[in-house]
Amino acid sequence: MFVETMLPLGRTDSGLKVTDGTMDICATTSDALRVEALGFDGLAVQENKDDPYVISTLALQATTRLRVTTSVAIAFPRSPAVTAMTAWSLARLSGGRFVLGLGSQVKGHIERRFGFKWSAPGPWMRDYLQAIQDLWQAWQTGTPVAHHSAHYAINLNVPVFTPAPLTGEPIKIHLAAVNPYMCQVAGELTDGLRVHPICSPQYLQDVMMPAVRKGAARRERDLRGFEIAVKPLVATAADETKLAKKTEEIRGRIAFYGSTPAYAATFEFHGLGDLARTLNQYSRAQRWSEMANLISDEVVHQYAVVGTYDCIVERLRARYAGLASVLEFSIPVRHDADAELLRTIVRGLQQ
Amino acid sequence: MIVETLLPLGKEEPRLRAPKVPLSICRVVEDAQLVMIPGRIYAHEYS
Repeated sequence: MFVETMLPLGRTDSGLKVTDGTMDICATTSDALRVEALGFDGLAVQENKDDPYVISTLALQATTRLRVTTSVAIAFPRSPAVTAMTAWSLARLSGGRFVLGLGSQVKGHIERRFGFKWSAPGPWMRDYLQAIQDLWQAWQTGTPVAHHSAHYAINLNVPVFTPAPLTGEPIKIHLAAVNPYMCQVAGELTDGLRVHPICSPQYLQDVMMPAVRKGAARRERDLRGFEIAVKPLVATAADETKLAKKTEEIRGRIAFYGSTPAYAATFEFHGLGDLARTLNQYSRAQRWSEMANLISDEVVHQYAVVGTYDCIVERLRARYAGLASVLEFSIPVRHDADAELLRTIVRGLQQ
Repeated sequence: MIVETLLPLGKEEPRLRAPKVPLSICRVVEDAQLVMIPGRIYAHEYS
C-alpha cells in the first residue's frame, strides 16, 4: 500500500471542532523533509487554517521524492481556471509529484463561509472537473479552450496567460466523496477516490465502489490505476491503558460525524439511522459532551481500527488490503524512538 | 523609494503577447535570493 500522512505527524482528521494538532506553516519545509525521511510515500494536505496550495508548494519545494496531495482542497470557492493553473504550476515545480485532491464541502460552508450560492454538488463538481480538464487539454496541446457547461463558460484565449505544456504524466485528480452520486462523478472524471473516515470498508465496497464503476462505465473508462485513498479512524497507542484513552477520542469523533446530516447514508447503511438522528438532535441542542456516550463499543469497531502499536499494521492490512491502494496513517513523533517505530509501521503497511 | 523587479530579471511588462523570457517556477527560490542580495546580482551579471 502507498502510505501517506498529514501534518503535523500524529494529527487526526479535523472532524472535531478543535483539532488535536496545529499545523504550523513555518515548519512545513522541515516537517515535509522529516516525512520523506521516515519513508512515507506521500503527504496529504488538508484545507483548514492555511491555504492547501501554499502548504503543498512549500512541501514540494523542500522534498525530492514525496507525492503531495491536497486532501482535500475545497473546489467551488475557486474558479476552475484558478485551480487548473495552480495545479499546473505545482506539477511543473515538482516534476509531477502533485495530485489535485478536491472536495465539495457542504452547503453551510459554501454559502456562509465562502459567500457563494449553493447548487447540487454532484452536477456542479462534474462541470468543475470537466472545465479543469478542458483547460489542461488546451494548454497541453496548444489549442484554444472552449468549455461550456451549466456552471461555467470558459473560452477566452490569451497567449500571455496560457501556460506552456507539461512534460511527463498528466496531473492526477482525486475526489472526496461519501454519497453514491459523487462517487459516480469520481468514476467518470478522476483518477482516485478520497474516502471520508466515516465510510466503513463495507460501505466502501457495497455502496461507493459500484457507483465508481457505474461512472466509469458511463464514460467507457478503464479503472486500472484508479486509486482508493482511505483515511481510517484509528485508535492506537503503546499499551492498553493509553489505547483506552485513544478509543474514547475516536468515540467522540464518530459521534461528531454521526451528527452531520451529510454523512447520514453511512449510518443508514449499517442500520444506525436512528442513532444518527439522535446525534443530530444532541448537536443542535449543543449537548456535545454527551454525544460520545451514545456510541457503543460495537459501533466504535464498526467504524474504527483499534489496536496497540504492535498489532496495528496487521489490523489495518486485514481491513484494507485489496480494497484501498492509499492509506493515511501517523502517530505523534516526540522522540527518536517514536520516529523509529513510525518508520517500522510505515514499512509494514507498504509491504 | 521601494524598488521592485519582475522575475526573471530583465523581463519587460508583457502586455498581451507572450513574454520573450518566461518565468520558470522551478527557479523562483533561486531568483528571489538573487534579487535580495545586490552583490550577487552584480556577480551574476558580470561574471
